[in-house]
Amino acid sequence: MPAKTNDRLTEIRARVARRTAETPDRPDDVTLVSKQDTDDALAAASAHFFGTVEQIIQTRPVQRIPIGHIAPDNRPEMRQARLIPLPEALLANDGGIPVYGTMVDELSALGQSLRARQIQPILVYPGTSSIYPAARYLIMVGHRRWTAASLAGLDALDAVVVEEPTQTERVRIQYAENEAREDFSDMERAWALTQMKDALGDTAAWEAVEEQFRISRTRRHELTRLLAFTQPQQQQIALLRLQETQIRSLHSAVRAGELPPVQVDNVLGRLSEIAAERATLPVQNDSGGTAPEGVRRNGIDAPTVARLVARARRAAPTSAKEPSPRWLQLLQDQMVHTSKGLVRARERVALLNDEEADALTAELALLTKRLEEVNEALRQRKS
Amino acid sequence: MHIYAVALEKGGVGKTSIAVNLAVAFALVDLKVLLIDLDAQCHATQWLGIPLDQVRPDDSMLGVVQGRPLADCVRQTQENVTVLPAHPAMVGLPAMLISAPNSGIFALKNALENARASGAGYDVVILDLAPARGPVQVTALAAATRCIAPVQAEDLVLQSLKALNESVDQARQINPRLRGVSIVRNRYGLRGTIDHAYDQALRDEYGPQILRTILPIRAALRHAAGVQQSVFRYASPDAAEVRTLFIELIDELLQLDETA
Repeated sequence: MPAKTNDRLTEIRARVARRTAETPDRPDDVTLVSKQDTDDALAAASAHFFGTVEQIIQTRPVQRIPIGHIAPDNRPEMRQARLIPLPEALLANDGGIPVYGTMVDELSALGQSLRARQIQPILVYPGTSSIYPAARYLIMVGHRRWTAASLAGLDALDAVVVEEPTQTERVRIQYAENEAREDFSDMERAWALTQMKDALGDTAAWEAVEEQFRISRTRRHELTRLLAFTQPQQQQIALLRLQETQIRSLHSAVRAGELPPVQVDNVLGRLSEIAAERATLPVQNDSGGTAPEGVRRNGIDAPTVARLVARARRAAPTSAKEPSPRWLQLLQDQMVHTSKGLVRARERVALLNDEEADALTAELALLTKRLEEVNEALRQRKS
Repeated sequence: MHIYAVALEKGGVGKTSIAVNLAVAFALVDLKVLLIDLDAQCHATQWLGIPLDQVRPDDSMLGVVQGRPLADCVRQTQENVTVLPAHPAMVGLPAMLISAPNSGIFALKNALENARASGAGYDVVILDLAPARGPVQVTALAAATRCIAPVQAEDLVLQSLKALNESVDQARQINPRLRGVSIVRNRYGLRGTIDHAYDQALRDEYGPQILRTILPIRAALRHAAGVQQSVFRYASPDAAEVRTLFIELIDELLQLDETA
């Protein structure tokens, strides 16, 4: 170290030693004025720092409830926007769905962990189930842990009992809780968005949904594009835990009407095969008995999907192609991004210097002219 | 005892880099230093050369919340810093804290007090936090005497700084010893007009909270992390300059707390 720095160190050491000798460290003698002050301060801190679920758990007693007394809420309007099959369906796997095997492995590992220690209680509310007649409580948060506990044969789970939530509360709390989970997929997010829109009422605007979930308009657009798939296709995408960016080429082709449903089924079928092959790889290669990795972690990458989509496009009948030109979707995407950029720019133009402001003004004038030209062309087309 | 919580709710601002090198700098002036890694990503633990496969969940803050004495969990590094390591299982720490008495808010404060009472106290404690609001952050702020926020001249960083100041104001209701947020300009380089505008906004809004010492962008810090050494052990052409700046920084912090 340079001499100057060493001198500085020596000086600080001497000062610190002097200071320590003068004022020995004492225990914390600063206390809050009264118990009431402490309680108020703790309540305010909890409200500021903790999420909704944390606050619920903090204020209510935890009960040990038998697994048989708990069930998922299967009413269509109250069903969680996640694809977690019932334990019996996972074990039976009548459809021979390859991903079920991986799910069972993951949930069994979680079940063993729960057997050792359940870190956080699940949230339930009083209710009955047509599928599980013995159930007395329905799950608000903790479907995955309940499924894992059922598969592992646990007797009971720690739970906090709350009142039956409204549909809006339920979707918002479940979304916030799931958002922190690594395996929450974009398809499930898109389902949650539509559930929230339904919960808010027929006339609710998407902006209200974005506000509830605190997501941007662009992100909401990205997610809702996945709803272009048919219901069975959406189920398959959720099972494969495919994210929106991974299958962008596929949903773009679907929305552009370039692929008939049968070709989309073929692509998804091939992706399921790839997922199943990859899920078994660690078992074949690892004599140490490592559990197979999940599909998403093995990664079906976007180029693989794009190649399959290109092949399907070539195989698709010509009549299915080009009901909507490809440039249109690209242009619409660019306009969403540009619009967002312009909104942000409005708040920041004050920071520009004169030269930058002049350049931006010129660009905007040109853009305005181009927009007017396209608008005029659209008007002429109508007339 | 000075307890510094290195925090900001935005990631990638250099919290761990500041925490690790501050800890070693304090140790160099013969202070007894404890670094507590509160981030389940375990970066500070690894940076100080502690192999993760030698850390059990109970050796981390998880064990402390369950009542293990700090002295049983910590380990000493070659650079004379005592470390309470992190473990990836600390993703469950927020839930564990919530289930503890008083939602675990005073878990760390009590653990440090107990360590002091049993004769294993520290002069300086550095808390390396994850970029998130929640039970871990409030537990850290309930124990801290000062919060240190590394910043760059960027819009999102300034937004996070506002959020951190609000959190610290809230935490001061339960921890009157918490003196507030000190801002350290880290990886600080002003290139374009926009950078200067944000720098001006930072000075206008938070002037009295900004520390004098500025840490510029230097490869030494990044490379030192790669070889699991502090910048005081790592040898490179620009390491000497960074070391001097960290010495300046601890001097500034010590003087600030001596006069407080």
